[in-house]
Order: sequence, then C-alpha cells, then structure tokens
Amino acid sequence: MMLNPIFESSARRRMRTVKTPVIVTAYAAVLLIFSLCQLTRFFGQGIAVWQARISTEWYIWLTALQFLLILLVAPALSAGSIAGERERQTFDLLLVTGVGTRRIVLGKMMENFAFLALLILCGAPVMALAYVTGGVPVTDIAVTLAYLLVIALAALSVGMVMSVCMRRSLTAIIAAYLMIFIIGAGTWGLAKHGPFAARYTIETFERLAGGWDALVTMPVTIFLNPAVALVMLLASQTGILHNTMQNTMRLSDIYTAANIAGFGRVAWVSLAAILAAALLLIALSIAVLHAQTGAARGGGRYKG
Amino acid sequence: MIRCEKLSKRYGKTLALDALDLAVAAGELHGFVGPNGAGKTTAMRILATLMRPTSGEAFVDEISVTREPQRARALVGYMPDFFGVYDDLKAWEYLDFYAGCVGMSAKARRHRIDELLALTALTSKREAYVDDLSRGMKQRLCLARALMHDPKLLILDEPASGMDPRSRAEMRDILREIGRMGKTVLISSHILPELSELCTSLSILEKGRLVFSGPVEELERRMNGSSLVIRFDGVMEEALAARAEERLLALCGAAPSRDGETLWRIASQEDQDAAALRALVELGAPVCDFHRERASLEKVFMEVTNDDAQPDF
Repeated sequence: MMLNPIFESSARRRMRTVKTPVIVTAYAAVLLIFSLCQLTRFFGQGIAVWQARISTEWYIWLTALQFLLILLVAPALSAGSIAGERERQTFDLLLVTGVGTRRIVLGKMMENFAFLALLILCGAPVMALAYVTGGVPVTDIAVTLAYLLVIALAALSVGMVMSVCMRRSLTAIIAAYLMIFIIGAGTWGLAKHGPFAARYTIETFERLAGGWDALVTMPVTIFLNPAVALVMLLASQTGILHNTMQNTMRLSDIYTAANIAGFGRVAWVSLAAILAAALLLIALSIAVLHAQTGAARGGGRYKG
Repeated sequence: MIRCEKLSKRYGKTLALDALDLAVAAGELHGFVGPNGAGKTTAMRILATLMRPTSGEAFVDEISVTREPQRARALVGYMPDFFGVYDDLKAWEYLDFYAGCVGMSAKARRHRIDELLALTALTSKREAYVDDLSRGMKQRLCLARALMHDPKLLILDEPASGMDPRSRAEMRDILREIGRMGKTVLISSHILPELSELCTSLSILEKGRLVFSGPVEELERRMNGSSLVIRFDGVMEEALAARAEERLLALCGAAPSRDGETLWRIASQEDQDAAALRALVELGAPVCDFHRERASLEKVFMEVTNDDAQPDF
C-alpha cells in the first residue's frame, strides 16, 4: 500500500520544527509536575488503604487534565491544516495534482491524529503511576487512553470541518474552539431542556429496569457530550464522582438513569457515539471540500 | 492543444474574460500578453481546472476542463505566479511530495526527481532546504514540480516576474528545452519583448478580450513597417525647412512629423529612402543622421492594446 503523500510530507515537516518537541515536552511536563504535586502526599508514607483513595482522585484529575489539554491542542492542529494550505497558496497546487479531496483530508487527519497519539502516549507512563500507587488497574488505564484517543479524533474532526469552511487559519481555529464549546454546552443544554430533554419522575425511575432499558430513556444528546462521557467512564472505573455529576454537572436525573443503566455501559455508548460523530464530520469535510473544488472552483479572487 | 470557446468569467460586476476564443496548436510556445488585469491569470486558472468559467467552454487536447477536470489535470502542468512552496522541506522532498500526489511509485519518483532537477539546473541543490533557495531557484523548482507528471501542456503564469536578468535568461533556456521536448507551453507576461523572442505565437489580451492572436511575425507585420528618422545638425531656417518638408511629402507620400526642432520622423516605405536623402542633401539641409527605425514590439503592444498601463522594463 502506498503511503498517503500528504501524511508523509506533513509528518516530516512537523517533526522537523522546533515547536514539536517543545509541545511534547511541555505536555509531559505539565502532567508530571501536576502528578508530583499530588503524589507527594503519597510518597514517604507507608502503604495504607486510604492512600489508594488519594491515588484514585489524582488519576481522575490527571485524566481530566489530559482531556482539557487535548481539547486545547487538537482544534488548532486540524483547523490550520487546509486553511493553512490555502494561506500558503499551496492548496491549488495540491488540487492540480489530482490527488483528490479525500486523500487531502484523510492525510491531514492521519497526521494530526498521529501527533496527538504521540502526546497521549507520552502521557501514558505518568498515567501508569496510578497503577503503581494502587488506585486503578492497568486495563482501566488502557481504556482511558483509548477514550482520550477518541476525543482527540473528535476534536480534530471539528477543527477539520472549520478548516475546510474557512479561508484563513486564524478564523478557522477560533471557529473550531467556539464550535467545541457549542457542542459541549449544546449537547448538555439539549439534554436538560428542549425536545430531547430528560423527563424523569420518581415513578419512571421506579419502573426502570437496569441495563439497556434505562439507557434508552436517556436524552440522546448527552451521549455526544465528551465531558459527560469522561465522567461516566471514570465513575464506572473508580466508583466515585457521584456528587460531581449530581451537583457540579447538575445532572441528577440523568445521573440516576445512568446509574440504573450502569455507568460503564453509558460510557461505552457515548464513546461509540462520539466516534461515529467524528467519522461523520470527517466525511462531511471531504464532501464540503469536494463541493468547493470538485470540478473546479467557481469563485476565487480576481487577479486578471 | 488548447481551445477556448466563448470563454467568459465574471467576478461580481467585473467582466474578467469576455467571450474569449483562443486556439493554440500542439507543440507551440504560446505567449499570453496583456496589461495587468487583462484576464490572463483568469484564463490560465480556468485551463488549469482551478476555476469554473461563467460561460463558455475550454478544452485541453479536446478534453473539457469543466466536465472532465480529472482527465484534464493529468495533461496540464500549472505554475502560478506565486511560489507555493513548503519552506521546511528539502528540494528533493518537495518534488517527492508532489510525485506522490500525482500517484508515482516510490521507485519511479527517484529517477524522475533527478531528471527534473537536472533539467532545471538544481541538481546541486538537491539536499538544500527550499527556504534557502534564491528566488530564481524557487521558481525553477516550481517549474520542476509542474513538469512532474510529464504533462502535454504547461501553463506558466508570469514565470519571470520579480526575477533578475540572469534568472530570466536561465528560465528562458529551460523553456526552450521544454519546447524542444514537444510540449505545448502557454506562458503569460505583461512584458512583450520577453515573450516575443521565446514564443512561436502570441495572443494579446486586453480587458478580457482577445485583440490579437497569431504568429509573432504576423504581429510585427501588423505594425506597418518602420519609420524613417532624420536628424539635422542645428536648427534650419524656416524657408529651408518648409522646402525640405515639401520635397519629402512629394517623395515619400507622407509628411514628416517634427519631434523637436532637429528630429523628424516619417512613416514611409523604405524604397524612397535614397531619393529622400539625395533631395535633402541637394537642398542643403544639414542632415547628420538618417536611419530606419524598426517598430519595437513594445510599441506594437501599446498600439494594439492602446493601453494606459505602462509596461515595465
């Protein structure tokens, strides 16, 4: 199989810049410094059962931190990809090679995803400390890493749509951040209000059977909220965070339904939904770019 | 090789191309001349499948660029009037990237890249970063990129803009070489002499309309011949000047136009030159310079387009 030339060239250029090792180092450093601050409470004391709780809480914070860092890095990465080619005036040159919009978008996505995967991989040894300190089993850590990869792909796909739609990379990046905020707030808001909102009463809760029965009563949009998915995942792994969901996230009715359905199950469904949405957005990017350029471009600047 | 039929392109209120009909035969080095804003870039972008015309059709080797852009792309090598390079790649990597994009296998690429680097005299810069290349070298690298898939038609938009004379000469040599390979080349410029010595045929565009299209010689012929320039040594007496003017009018069939007191020009045929000189000498006019001035292509250009934009030299 031939390597996607856009992936190959973009990856080569990324790995050549000074920025890349700086970002990777900074990412790992933030995780490590945060972990050391948390775990100093742990080291130097004998192992005791209550200390596992410290380790677990730290693990949750560490995951949340990575989640935020990925949301910070990913949109800027992909939003700049197509718009950046346009700005550099290399986009036309790519088009005339007949390489096709599908390979352009997929090549860029693959490259961005590979870079984020590298970041997440760099965070893995720090995550492994959770296992060493007794808080979380290795399989849970692996699942969390996989979750972070899916979130990375989803955030990249949002940025990619913006990159395709916008002419300038700066506007694309701003639009991508805005869109991620809108998706986060929107899916949560729609789960609370509007046509898909949850309408539970004490009676419905009493009637709810466990498993899928409870799951299908949950508002659809909540499955697309990456933060809720994260919290459900961590709740299923650690057994804590119940107060967070009920009070901080104001999800008590949805929390109750999820509790009946099983947090793990809800988390997996969320993960699948977010992955599907990401793939859909990538397909959308390809379709939009194809429509813009497909046969030829209609607009363009006037230059004589 | 190129056929445009009633090609029009409108940007809002501006009509960039106005029913352009153009035909360029295979193997020709065709110059596309016109002042800035004449529609050269627009026409070239349409031919390169990067822009859809508002109306009309364009064909490359009888393949419609609007209906079958993918097939047309395989035939066209396009070099825009900007570099469009990735600074952080080496010269060979830059070409390797585009070789991959046109679907060349890794094995075939190596050979092709070396070939193109040799053609564009960049072999010694193989390992150099694109960022470190000079303007002329970057331009040649872009040319190499445009030639990657061995296109039948090469479209070059202002390849000489912003280049020093030496780089221009190098570019010209390379283009001649490409012409010898039997490729059709469409090359635009707003500087006519630059193209007239390189091209086999020319088109002149003005405000989106084609004002001339044909062989270079025909363009030169269009400008009716040349003019006679006579310079006198010092100001003549009015009576003598009047007599001289009368004689010249009788002989050449055209009155001289006075360009200052001592310089006259007559748009006349060459065959009367000897008689005119004899007449002037017999009259005692102090002739110190008597020669034919060929119409420069630049003048032809200005005349044909009667353009207000000054060409830059």
